[in-house]
Amino acid sequence: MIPLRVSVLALCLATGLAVPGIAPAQPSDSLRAHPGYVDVAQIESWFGTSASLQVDVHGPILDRVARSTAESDADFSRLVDGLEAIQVRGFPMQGTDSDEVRRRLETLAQELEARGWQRVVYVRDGNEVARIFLRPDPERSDERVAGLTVLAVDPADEAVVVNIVGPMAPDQLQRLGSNLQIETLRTLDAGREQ
Amino acid sequence: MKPLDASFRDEWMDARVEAYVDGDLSGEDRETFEEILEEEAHWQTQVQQAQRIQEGLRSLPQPSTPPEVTQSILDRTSRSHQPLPWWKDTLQQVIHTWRALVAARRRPAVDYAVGLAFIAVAVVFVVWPLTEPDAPRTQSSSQLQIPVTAPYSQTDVDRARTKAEWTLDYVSRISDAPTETTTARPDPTDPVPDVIPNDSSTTVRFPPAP
Repeated sequence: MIPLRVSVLALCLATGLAVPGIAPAQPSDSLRAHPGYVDVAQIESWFGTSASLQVDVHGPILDRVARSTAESDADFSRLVDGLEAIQVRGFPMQGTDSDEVRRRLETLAQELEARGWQRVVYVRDGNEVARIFLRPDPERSDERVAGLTVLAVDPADEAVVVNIVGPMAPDQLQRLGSNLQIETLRTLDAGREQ
Repeated sequence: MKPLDASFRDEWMDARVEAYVDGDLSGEDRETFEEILEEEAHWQTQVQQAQRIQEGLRSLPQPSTPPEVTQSILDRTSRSHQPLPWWKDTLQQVIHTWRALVAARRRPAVDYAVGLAFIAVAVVFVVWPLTEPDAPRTQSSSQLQIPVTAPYSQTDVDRARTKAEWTLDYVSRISDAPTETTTARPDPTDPVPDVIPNDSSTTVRFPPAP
C-alpha cells in the first residue's frame, strides 16, 4: 500500500500544522511569479471546507531554518537553503465526491504538464494515486529544477497537495532520498547515470 | 517586442547588459536582447567586457565577516524583501559603473580616476560590513550580552523546521511505495496514461536530457 495514509489529525496535533481560524501568510507577487509556484489555495474551493492540514513556510524563515541546521544536518540545510516556499494542503475525503476530486486532480496534473512541469513519479495502489512533478527552471542552464509538486489522493482517507518552490538539484534530491527513504528519487538518480 | 527607436534601444540594452551576463534576464526581454546582440557588434563587445569584469571581480578574495555581522545583515535583508540580494544589486551597479568608465576612457588621467574608483569600491566592500552600524552590541564577558533583535523567534524557526521536515518526509513516504518499481526513460511518443491501470505499479519518468 502506498504510504499516503498519514494520520492527518495526529500530525496536526503533534506539529501544529493545521491552524484553524488563522489565515495563512499570503504569497508575495514575486513568489506567485516563480516558475515553481503552484496556487495550492485553489484546491480549497473543491471541498467547500478549510484545509485540515496546512503548511505555509515562506523564504525568509526558510533561510533561518537552513542556517540553524547547517551544522547539525548539513544535507537538510543545503536542501532548504534557497527555497522560496513550502506549501501543503490536505483535506479529508469523507463526505466528498471522490470521483470528482480525482477528476479535478487529473485536470490539475494536465494543466501542470501544459505549463512545463514534468511528471517524474506516478504511483498507483488500488484507488490511491500519487504523482510527483518537477518544474525545470527556464532561466537556468544547469540541472536545477524550479519546483516540486505532489498530487496525492486516497479516496478512503485524504487528498494532499504539496508544492515546494525554489531551486533544487538532482543530487540534492538523491541525498534527500538517501536520508529520508525516498527510494524512487534514489532510483531516479541511479537511472540517470545509465 | 523589439524597441524601434535607436536611442531608446541603446538605453534599453545598456540597462540590461549586467542582468543578461548574470543570467537574470527573463522571457521576452532576453529574446529581444539576444536579437539585438546577434545583430550588433557593439553590444557583443559590451557583453564580453561585462563578462570579463564580472569574472575579475568574482576572482577577488572574499573577505570574511564576523558571524554577528552576517546575522544582522541577513536579518535585515530578510525583513526588507528585496527582489535582489544587496550584494548582487551592488555588484551590478559596480560593474555598470566600471563599464561606463572603461567605455569613456580617452585620456590617461581617466585611467587614474578609474583605478582610484576601483580601490574606493574595494574599500567599501571590505570595510563597510565590518563597520555595520546595526551590528549587535556586545559587552565584555562579565557583562550582560544584548541579543540581536530577530524578525523570527526561535520558536518560529523551530516550528518552520518541523513543518519543512514533515513535508519532505511526506514526499519521501509517497515515493517509498512497497510496490513494484519500474524505471525507464520516457519515449516521447509515450503519452501520460489517461486511463489509470488496474494493477499496482510505480513508474519513474525522466525529464528529457537538456
